Amino acid sequence: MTKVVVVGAGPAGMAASWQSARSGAEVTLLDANPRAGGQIWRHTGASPVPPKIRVWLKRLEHPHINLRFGCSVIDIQDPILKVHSEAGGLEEVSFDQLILAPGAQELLIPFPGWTLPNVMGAGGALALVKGGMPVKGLRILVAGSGPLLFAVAGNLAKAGAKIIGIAEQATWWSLVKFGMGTTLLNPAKLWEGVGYARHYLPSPFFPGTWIMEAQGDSQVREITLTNGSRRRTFECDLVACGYGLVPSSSLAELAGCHQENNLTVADRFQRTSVENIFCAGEITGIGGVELAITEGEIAGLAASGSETRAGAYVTRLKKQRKFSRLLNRSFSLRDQLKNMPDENTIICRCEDITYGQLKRLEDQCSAKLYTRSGMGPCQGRMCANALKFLLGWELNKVRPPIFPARIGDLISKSIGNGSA
Amino acid sequence: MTPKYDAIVIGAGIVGAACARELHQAGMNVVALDAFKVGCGTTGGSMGHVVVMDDSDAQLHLTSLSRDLWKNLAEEHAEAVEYNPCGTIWVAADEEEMEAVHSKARNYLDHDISVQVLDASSLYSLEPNLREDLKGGLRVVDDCVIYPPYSSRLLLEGIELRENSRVTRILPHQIQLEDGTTLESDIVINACGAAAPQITPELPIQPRKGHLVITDRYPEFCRHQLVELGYLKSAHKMEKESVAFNIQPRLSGQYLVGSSREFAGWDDGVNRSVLGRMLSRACHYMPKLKDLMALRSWTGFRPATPDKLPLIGQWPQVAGLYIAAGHEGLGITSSLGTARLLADEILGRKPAIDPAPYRATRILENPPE
Repeated sequence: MTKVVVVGAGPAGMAASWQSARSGAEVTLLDANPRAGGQIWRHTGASPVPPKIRVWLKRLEHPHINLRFGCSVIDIQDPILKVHSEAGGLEEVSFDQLILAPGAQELLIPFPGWTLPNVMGAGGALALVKGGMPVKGLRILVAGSGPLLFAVAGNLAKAGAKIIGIAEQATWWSLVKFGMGTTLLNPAKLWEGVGYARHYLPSPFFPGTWIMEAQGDSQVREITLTNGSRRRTFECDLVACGYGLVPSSSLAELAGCHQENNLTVADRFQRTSVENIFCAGEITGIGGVELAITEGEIAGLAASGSETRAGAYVTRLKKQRKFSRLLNRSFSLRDQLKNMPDENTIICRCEDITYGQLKRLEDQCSAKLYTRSGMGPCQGRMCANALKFLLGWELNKVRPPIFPARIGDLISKSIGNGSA
Repeated sequence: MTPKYDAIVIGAGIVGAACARELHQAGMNVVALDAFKVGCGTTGGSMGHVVVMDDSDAQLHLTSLSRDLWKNLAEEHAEAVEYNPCGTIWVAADEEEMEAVHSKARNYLDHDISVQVLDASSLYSLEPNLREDLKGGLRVVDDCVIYPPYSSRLLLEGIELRENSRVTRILPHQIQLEDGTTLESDIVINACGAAAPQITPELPIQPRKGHLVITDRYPEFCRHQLVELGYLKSAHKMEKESVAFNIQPRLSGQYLVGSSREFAGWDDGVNRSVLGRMLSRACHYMPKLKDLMALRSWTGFRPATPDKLPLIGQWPQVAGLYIAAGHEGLGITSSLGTARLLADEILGRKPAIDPAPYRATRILENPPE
């Protein structure tokens, strides 16, 4: 039986696992979280799960899918993954075929005051609320870019927060075009949006607007927005912001999968440049849930030797890629956002490096050598993507471990005292 | 018109930076070039241990001269170089190594290097996280740690610097850059470390790869640079691969854990089996290291020569050319002494120490096998 290992239990990984198992492979699905669903379908298991997600959760009950939660992949040496599990420490998981579906992370653009308590990522805020963080009565500003903002605002409002506004950096005009395009390509998406709006309306919506500054003391108290000319300040208790998504490419890069513009390159069967490694979902390009599922299904089929059946997805894939392009075009970030941080804004929170220190340098390598930016515990996961946007710096080469790991876990069990 | 300098230093790692500074301070018009940027090669990947080593008299003279120069500089610019006067402890695991402690101590004391022989109990009072059955150690009091990339930049202050300028050829009193330009000077110094043979092909310098790991912050876990005495055995065998216990405290409360040596060409990938062996060796000496979190691993290339000594001085094959390269794992330490010796030669000053053992021309007299 082909041993397929899938990394990431979001929509892409779920779809890949299901299709691989149905094609007769023995599947192991790894995810760092305690449940399947990824960021976008995060749920606690307590509150009722929407039917669309329930279908996929049900499919994961396939007898040939071994679900492994609380597992982070810290290194790869084809055909072995080094996996740290919360339960049992480090183990090696071998694979015949590997499907990478690690998803994406939020792009946080630093601005003065962004390190104040209660300023958080939009996706992070969503996860906290779904995890039970009380927000009842809190005045929350949602800012950033992309459809995720509506989902965040909707969920926060549903949990009792007062949404004081949604600041979307894209212009009215690109939003209108996005709306029209969506009507043609993916009308269900619009209804989804309306569903969220039900909760947060009549909160004000500010298109073409972004954050200038947050003020506060022990936490954020005020937020100032700008549209480039006018500025407005609001009192608030929490700011949830996210300027789109960036793919989580570290594992694919470490595995040697060819990258272009920080995206993992795949062929029509979702195969990467490495023969036995496939990829699906956001690491191939930010495209949303539906595209992730399709890519996952194709990768799952191809990895388990059923490439011929993947042909059935061509039309669906084409339409979804079109939507993905529309999405990326409509919410592309305006250059003015590069002025969000000022001289004293801390960019690297691990090492306390300011934008003023960094912008005088040439690239990520200089930043690392001369300021230690990106060398703390988060290894630049936060700041490197921000610097890529702000200054156009390429990311540093990925080195193992991908996540901080116990030194003891980096020693293979077969090694004795390492005598020289 | 081609620009004219008194001296051109090729390579802005720590050795090149030190040479540029020494000549600049002597009043010369110097330009330093680097194919990439200051300290981004071996210097950037290194530990920054400033250490007196006594494998040979020649090594002892150069490292002790250099360490004195570093102490003066680092005390004056402590913050800029992240000076950490932590000292070194050579750890002895058995009676044989304890013998070595005593003989090293005698040798150091003969050369006025301040040391302290530690029995087992004083070793543990200084470093309680070492494993329990060690026999003792040798504390070299004035060894210290600096942060090499910052230090290289400090050394180059006030000196004309051209980064991203790759030199393709060295001709008599002249160099050619990749972009086609030519620079002229009576004196050209090849300080390209492991890459020096790329422009002076006769140099017998080989990249000797090493791995390092950096941990998260654990203040007070370890207070000195600790090195196993077995390191001397492993560092000197020219075998394909070896590892030795070496840990260094940084001012941030983080630790660098090493070390490994291997000949693997220019492949800069992390060799998981060497990394595993290296960390296993470290945990063998400091068992609690196992529970520290490693943030990142990386590799670097030591410029290794066949006789373990750097190549310093004139290279008569090309008029005007001097070499300052081949320091293997002692480039940070020896950089300042190297620069002093080289400047002594160029300026016709009385040499600070006998330069004969380091002369680059020695390899022409006794070509390596």
